[in-house]
Amino acid sequence: MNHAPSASIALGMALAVILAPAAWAEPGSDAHVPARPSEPPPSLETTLERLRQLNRANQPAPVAGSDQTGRLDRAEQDRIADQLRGGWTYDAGAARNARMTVTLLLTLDADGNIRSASIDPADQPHLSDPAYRAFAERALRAATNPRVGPLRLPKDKIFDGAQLRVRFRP
Amino acid sequence: MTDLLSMPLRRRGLVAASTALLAAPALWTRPAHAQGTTATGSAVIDVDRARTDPIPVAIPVFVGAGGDTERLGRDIAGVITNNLARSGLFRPIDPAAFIGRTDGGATPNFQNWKAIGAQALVTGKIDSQGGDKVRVEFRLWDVLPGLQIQGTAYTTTLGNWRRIAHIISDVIYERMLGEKGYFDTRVVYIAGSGPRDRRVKRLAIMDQDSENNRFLTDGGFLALTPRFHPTRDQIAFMSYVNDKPRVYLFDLGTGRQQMLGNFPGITLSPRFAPDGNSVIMAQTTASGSDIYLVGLGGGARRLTDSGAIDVSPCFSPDGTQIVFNSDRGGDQQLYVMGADGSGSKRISFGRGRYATPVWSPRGDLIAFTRQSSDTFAIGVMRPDGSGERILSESFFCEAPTWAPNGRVLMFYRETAARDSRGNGYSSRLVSIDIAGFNERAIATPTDASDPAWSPLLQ
Amino acid sequence: MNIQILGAFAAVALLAACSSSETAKPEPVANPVKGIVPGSQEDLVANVGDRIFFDFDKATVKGTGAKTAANMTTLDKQAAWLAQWKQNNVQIAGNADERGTSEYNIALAAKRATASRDYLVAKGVAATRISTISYGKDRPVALGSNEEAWAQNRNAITSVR
Repeated sequence: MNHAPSASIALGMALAVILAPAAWAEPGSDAHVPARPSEPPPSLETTLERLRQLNRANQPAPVAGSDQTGRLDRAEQDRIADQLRGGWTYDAGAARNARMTVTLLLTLDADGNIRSASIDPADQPHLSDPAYRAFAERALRAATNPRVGPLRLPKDKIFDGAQLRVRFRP
Repeated sequence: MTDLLSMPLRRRGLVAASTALLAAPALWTRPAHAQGTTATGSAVIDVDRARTDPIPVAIPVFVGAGGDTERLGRDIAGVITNNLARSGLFRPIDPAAFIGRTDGGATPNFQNWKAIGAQALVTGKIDSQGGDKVRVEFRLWDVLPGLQIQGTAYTTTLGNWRRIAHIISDVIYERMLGEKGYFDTRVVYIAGSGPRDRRVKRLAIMDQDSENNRFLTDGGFLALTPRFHPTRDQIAFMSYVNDKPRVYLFDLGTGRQQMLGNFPGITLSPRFAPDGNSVIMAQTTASGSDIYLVGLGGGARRLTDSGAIDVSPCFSPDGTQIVFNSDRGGDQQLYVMGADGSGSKRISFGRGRYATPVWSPRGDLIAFTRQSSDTFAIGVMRPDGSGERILSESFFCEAPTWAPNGRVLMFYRETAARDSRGNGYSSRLVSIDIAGFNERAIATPTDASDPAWSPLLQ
Repeated sequence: MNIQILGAFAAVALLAACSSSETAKPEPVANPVKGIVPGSQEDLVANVGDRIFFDFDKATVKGTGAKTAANMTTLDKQAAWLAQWKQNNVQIAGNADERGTSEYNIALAAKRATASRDYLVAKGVAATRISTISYGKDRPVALGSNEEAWAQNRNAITSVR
């Protein structure tokens, strides 16, 4: 079986099947549609728990003093904001977007590149709102867009694992 | 939720479930933050002044498996591209820029899509299932983290391919923007032809993207102001059949029309109640017109008796209030009253006359036509009359109708005749985002007016 | 429709002729146009005046400037003509200019037809002989987009049924 349905919806005129992600196999696999493990679709709770574990595993280990935001002066902060603003977009017509903000934790490498971006745990409960999720994802795309390039910071404030706290708002 | 909580540049996030599975209900509320620090006092860099650029999306043709499926793959990708582009919220990337190909199903080479600036990628493939049955599979990918964020397969008949393309467009719209789409919808409108002094006005219907246009009446009588039933394939409209202008119900399945109620006066400006069991409309009287609630199964109740022109009533989506147009105060203004006709209160106080109020399906706004000395305008205000915004202004425009997600308005615009024979006059449909951008002409085979947007199809 | 356009010009001509007259008792008008059958629609248009005109967003026979007198003259002549041609029933169609929204214009134009009818009834024409209809802005007689055209389209037109 090529496709692993995890839900089907009768549309009256068509049968719709929600497709599981194609990418359960290793990245780079050239399988056309990778076969999914044969176990039954995970329940929502199992899935959530699994992802919580994954999330913990993926988060850079919190290093004491890794948050460099407070060490930056105003000019340095403004420069970073300018760099990130280049790709920062939102949907002005969405009902509540004008009042939303999302805080990201950016983890840098030794050259100042943004190695990863994650949503501040304080904002994560809001992600169950699809409109907020879409808003937050656009912030993540702005931060992880390769076009941002290395952040322009003095060398003494950059190290592998340095973190910055950045709040996106319209 | 790896794709959300952590969006690494490396592709380790590929081991993730579709986020569609993960929503847990929670209200979104948040405290105001002081500039420069978070609520917990941590320093934070503020990135503001977001642009409103559309999301760059790549939509390669869906991969077919020979025969009809090849053509279908191109056509479906074309319809999706057109839908997303016309929304103004997506920017489909020119396929000429694509690097490499997709096989329609497997994990794409994300570097190729990143390189052309795509943030979202839509892939799909089509298999014949024998006879005229096809299976259309599509996946939506978040390019930067390299994740599938949506995937659905539809088994349907060939003839349904357009609807499948619209449904897929809606899924993409909803997943990327967090609001319901409006592509699997139709628009009923009045098609106009011939000179204005003996204008032929026919009821017509088309898909929201102007395809599948059909004329529903033959033009032997004037047809005006159609509106969709909230759930059924039924339209309420004003018809001059037998020279007796009244509100009629038109059944889209059978093509039959039937007078609604039995009124001595002219009945006009119908709109269905949100529950679909009745129609609210006006009846002319010696001194103007009154508003009536008329049951589809019979029975009518008068809700206003002002001795003035009360017309164009429209329910709030929760059915508790009615906004309407009245000149009881001297000229045309908007009023809101309870669903039983009680407690009417004027809400429009700007410069000019206000007309054709229509409550947003989201409940948060009322769209209207405003008439000033030389121009007409389409605008929105909150139900209490505050926050008025004009979206479009011209020599003549009126009759806004809401897309079912409350995001887009369609209306019609007329140009002035440039001579005494009426040359230069035209009447066309226009749509605009409620943020006031992305104004677009809606193609129709003839002149057009009085658009009404359907709910999302069932 | 040619008839209606002719009617508009005929009405204007009559206004000029009658603007200062104070005819208390309207008399049947002799037929000056060859070939028109007395008591016919053509007779009404050419020799009586089939329409009255309204101010912008108004539906009263009384109007600004010379309109009141002109309208009353026309309606008085219509009443006299209807008294003479008792077999004629009429329909009064209310119309509006293009400078208004469609639904409101239908209600406004209906009021114009009613105003015209009420005047005739007050002058003794049986209400049962008169029907009314409203076309809003959908049956303009003048097709331009200017004040002159709009003024012509704010009307109530009487026609033999």
